Amino acid sequence: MDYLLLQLMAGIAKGMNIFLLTSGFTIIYGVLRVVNLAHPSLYLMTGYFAYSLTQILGSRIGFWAALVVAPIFSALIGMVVERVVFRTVYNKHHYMQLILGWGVMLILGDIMKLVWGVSAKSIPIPEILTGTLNVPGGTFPYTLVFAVIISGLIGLGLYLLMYRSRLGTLIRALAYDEEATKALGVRVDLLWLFVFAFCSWLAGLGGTVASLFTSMRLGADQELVLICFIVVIVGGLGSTIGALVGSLIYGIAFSIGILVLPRYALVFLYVIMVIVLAIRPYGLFGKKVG
Amino acid sequence: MRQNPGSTGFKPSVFDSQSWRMIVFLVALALVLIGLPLFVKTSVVRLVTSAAILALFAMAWNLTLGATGIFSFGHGGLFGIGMYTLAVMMIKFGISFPIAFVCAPLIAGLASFVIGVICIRLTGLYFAILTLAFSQLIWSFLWKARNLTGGDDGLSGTTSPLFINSPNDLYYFVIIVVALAIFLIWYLLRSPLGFTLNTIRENPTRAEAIGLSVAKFRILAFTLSGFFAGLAGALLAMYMRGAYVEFASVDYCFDPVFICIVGGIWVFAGPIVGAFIWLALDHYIPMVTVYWPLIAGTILIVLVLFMPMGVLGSTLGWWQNQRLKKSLSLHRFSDALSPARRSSARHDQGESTK
Repeated sequence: MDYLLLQLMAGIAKGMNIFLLTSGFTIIYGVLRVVNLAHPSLYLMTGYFAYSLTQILGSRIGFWAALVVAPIFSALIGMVVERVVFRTVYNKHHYMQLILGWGVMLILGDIMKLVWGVSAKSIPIPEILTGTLNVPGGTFPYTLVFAVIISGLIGLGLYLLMYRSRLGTLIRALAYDEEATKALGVRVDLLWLFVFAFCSWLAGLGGTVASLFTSMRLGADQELVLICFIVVIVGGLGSTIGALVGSLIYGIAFSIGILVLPRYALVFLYVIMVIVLAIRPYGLFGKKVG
Repeated sequence: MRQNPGSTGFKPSVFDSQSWRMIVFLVALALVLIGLPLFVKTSVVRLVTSAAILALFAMAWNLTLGATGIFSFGHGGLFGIGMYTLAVMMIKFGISFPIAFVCAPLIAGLASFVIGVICIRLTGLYFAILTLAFSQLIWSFLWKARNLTGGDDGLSGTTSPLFINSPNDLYYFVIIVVALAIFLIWYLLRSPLGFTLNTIRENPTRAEAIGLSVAKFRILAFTLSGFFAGLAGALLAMYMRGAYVEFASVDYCFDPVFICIVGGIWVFAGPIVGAFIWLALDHYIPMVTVYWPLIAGTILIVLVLFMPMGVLGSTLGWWQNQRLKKSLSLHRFSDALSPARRSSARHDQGESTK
């Protein structure tokens, strides 16, 4: 029973971390109508980048510097990707976006291989975060607590940005009706660029935090794409709160699944997804499309 | 030469120049394929064999998006079912080859019927991801059911039927089966059923309004598609002399999609061309460099950006001088190239100028 509590907490922490990834995925879909397969690559790549930074700057300030700098790096890459690749396929059929995203994913994956090699990398944990929290049934590392705090703050910030600021209002307007937003005199292309960069920044932040408790390894981007899809579909495409709930479901289901049926943990997720979609065809918080 | 949009390619005959060109292309391809083993090494023959299997697989997939407009990511699982049905029946139950070979596509078709019935309430990406989920379920079943399928070791040791003694025999057998299957698909798409499916692709709401049962036809298309995917799987089981779990994995869910896009979704022979290009990339680039995903990714991006209709589609379109690249919407592309151009050429013009 105590194990269960511990696994539950770890699951929530991992889910909250994944939320940083999936929220960007779902916002990009909601605003730009683009399925960005390359999104998880940015998450992974920023993790690698943070690793390099900590190697250069040493373990004392390395991670904190990476926490600030690495997401910006990710945002820049996101901007380049948007400008060069995705700009051309807005309003086109999903399959073209998928294959473009797949191409970008292959390229970024190979760049990672080229720069950081094939071995898995993980960041030395800074001193403040090395301790563990005592909970009934075992100990809970501070890094996971840190992940929850960061994701919680970002979630709050995301809410404030989207619903309590002018920029957020514009973004929601853009998601709702592009033509009308243009007619209001908004520079829609800049807004697109901003949204893409912001979501890449979120993914980068998630990757940097995740590098504390998981190791970055090649091929993880393809698994993360599937996880992204599951989470976003369960939560409802284009819904940020759906991404949050979906991420938590993912985290909890995965860690409990590992405890109950170790080899079927991923299958467990697919079963949950099939059940959710059988009851609510457009996800928990999704609206009917098409 | 630009034509005005109102008259884009409306021609009265059923066998218009497009289909004649396609027939000539297919006949030429068939001649080349028949003569091939006389001129090249065995390794190339085997490569072409697998390309033909992949072409059939992609063709089967294209029955969903290209013909009916439903986006399936779940064909890896169906392919795997076809493959494992043949291998399990022959190795575990000792059933003779012809029966196993007939059963493989039938069982894959049955599975895709069940999946189709469950998934058909959804459309677009939701449908795609739900089929992917089912495919992953199939994959994990094949992976875990060790007694039946051999788990991650796979099943090896299917015996070939008596008339197949060499790679060349297998090559001819595969080519004949694939050609028959592709002819069947072509015939289906030319039949009233094909036109119905195209109508549903172009405008499901309108199809519903004229009294078509959209859901039933979508399930039918998905089932047929699964049937042919299972056939391709059975052929691959013969080619590999067994069944292995990676052929049901997520890679094989994405592969047919990309093959079709590379070749051209809206052209009948697009997937065939795509399969050959794909396999050539997959086979020859790794010989040159270890960083082949970098090159493959770049090629994919360039293809999509500059040949949005796929290699064959864009080439044909350029050839026909039909303003394909600069056309406003993909639906109009599909109008110009699909068998159902006559049925939907009109209303779509109206929609794309909206």
